[in-house]
Amino acid sequence: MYFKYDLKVGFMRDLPKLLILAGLVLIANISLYRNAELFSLNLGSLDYILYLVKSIAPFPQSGEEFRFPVVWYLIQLYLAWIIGRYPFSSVCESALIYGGSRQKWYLSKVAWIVLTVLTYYLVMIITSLVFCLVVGVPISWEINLLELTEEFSSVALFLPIVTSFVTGVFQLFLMALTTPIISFFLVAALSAASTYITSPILFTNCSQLLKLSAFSEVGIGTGESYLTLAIVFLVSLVAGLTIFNRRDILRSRRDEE
Amino acid sequence: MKAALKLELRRLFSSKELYIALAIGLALVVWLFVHEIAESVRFAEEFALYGDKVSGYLYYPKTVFNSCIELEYDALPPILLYLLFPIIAAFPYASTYCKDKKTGYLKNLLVRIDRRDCYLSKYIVSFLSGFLVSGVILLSSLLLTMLVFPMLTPEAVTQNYYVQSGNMWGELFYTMPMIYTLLYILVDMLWCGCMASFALLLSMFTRSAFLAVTGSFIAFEVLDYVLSLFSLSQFSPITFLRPIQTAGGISLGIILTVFILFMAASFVGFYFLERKKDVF
Repeated sequence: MYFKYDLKVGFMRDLPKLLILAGLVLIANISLYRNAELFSLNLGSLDYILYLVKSIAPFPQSGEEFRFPVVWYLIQLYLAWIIGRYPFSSVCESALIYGGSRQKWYLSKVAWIVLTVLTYYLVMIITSLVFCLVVGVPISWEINLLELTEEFSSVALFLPIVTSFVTGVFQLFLMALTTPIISFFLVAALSAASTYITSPILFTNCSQLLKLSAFSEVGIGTGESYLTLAIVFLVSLVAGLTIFNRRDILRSRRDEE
Repeated sequence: MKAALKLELRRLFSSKELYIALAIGLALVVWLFVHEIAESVRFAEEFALYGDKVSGYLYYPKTVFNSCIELEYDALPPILLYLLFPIIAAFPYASTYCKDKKTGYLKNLLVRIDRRDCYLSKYIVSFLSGFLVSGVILLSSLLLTMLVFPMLTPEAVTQNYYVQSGNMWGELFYTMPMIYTLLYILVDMLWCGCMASFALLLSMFTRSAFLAVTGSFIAFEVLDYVLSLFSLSQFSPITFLRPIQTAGGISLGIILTVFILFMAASFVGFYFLERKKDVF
């Protein structure tokens, strides 16, 4: 019952908001295309997709100057914004009374996050592919934009999606603990901090390809990343469920108002 | 007008959001302070071991003008603070208008207070909230740093300062750094007030406090990115807010023009258009 409601109210109504994401991706793609022409880079369609989540190499270990990865950050920020606005809004919380189970309500939100994250990345991929088709960039699955290390495996390419999902579940837990605004703020701060500090503890590092050992000699290992994400997911889910079960919804809504 | 302003100010100072925003900002200030002291101690230990050839550079101590949160250039807390300023500034008060609409408090308010007074006082207090929060955070950092670090006049040749002499007020920084820092703090305070007012403008379109507070943050970030693509970063508030001036071409004219544009947009939108809407 809950998931059907989330699908109808939380997901379908939010679909037009993904047009802003498509616009953002388009702008990033145009910027990369311009640079590729300027520096005569031979890039394929996969490069245009990976560009959105590549971020920057570990700082300061890589020896490069710190340049804030705006594209990656904006993409993560917008996802956190989409996730933050629905679950604890009055329209969603009112459905809790009809279903009668807090656990199912919470798990339904986790399922809604999975669907939102998958759709979010799908929009990014489709927009990039359409852009490549329009401007004549070859549709290929070769990686030219990033240097691959010996530890590269294609499993690492799925880490941004998995990390975004885990971050969403973590944000849901924070929402249950505090308020949507504070949880959004904390996720924004966590994401910004992870561009500067390379450590699996700041798990949003795992969604930045250049911070992974698959693409950087001093990066975080793929196995290590998946293990960290699994731990964060489990802890967030259990803690979120426990807190939400005990939450005084009427009081928290009064506080919000 | 006085009564309306007093009421809104009382709401601001009794809201927990104000103190949460201050706590977040001050936590970043303390974090940087501890980091800077640890750096100084580490450097002093190296200096004791290796003399003035430590790290290949001549010895130059950390000063107030490269250790406070405004002028420190390679630590995480200033990056976080200046990146998140739009949300920290908007958090204390900008969402109250949404809440007033949602709960019906606005209707009660409007039968007792003149409409003009009500909207004007909300606008003024919103600006003040951003202005005050940023001021407390930035001045705390400056004062805290002054407790420990020396106020040496910056020397460009040491390459310990990010501000270039060609930047806006660059000459002032290398001759009267305290004036430069205080002037820039004032600019930041005005801008944070402006950001809070802009969030109030967004609250015209929604009843959700979340959208009002976070929407302005997203808008400023997107604006920053789009302007950077056209090499126009000097027009982005997120960029020119930092006193170290990470982009070239920043000038007082640009800062004031963009400030007036944003203030005018939020004032016209909120005071003239929103005031005429029927809330009953």
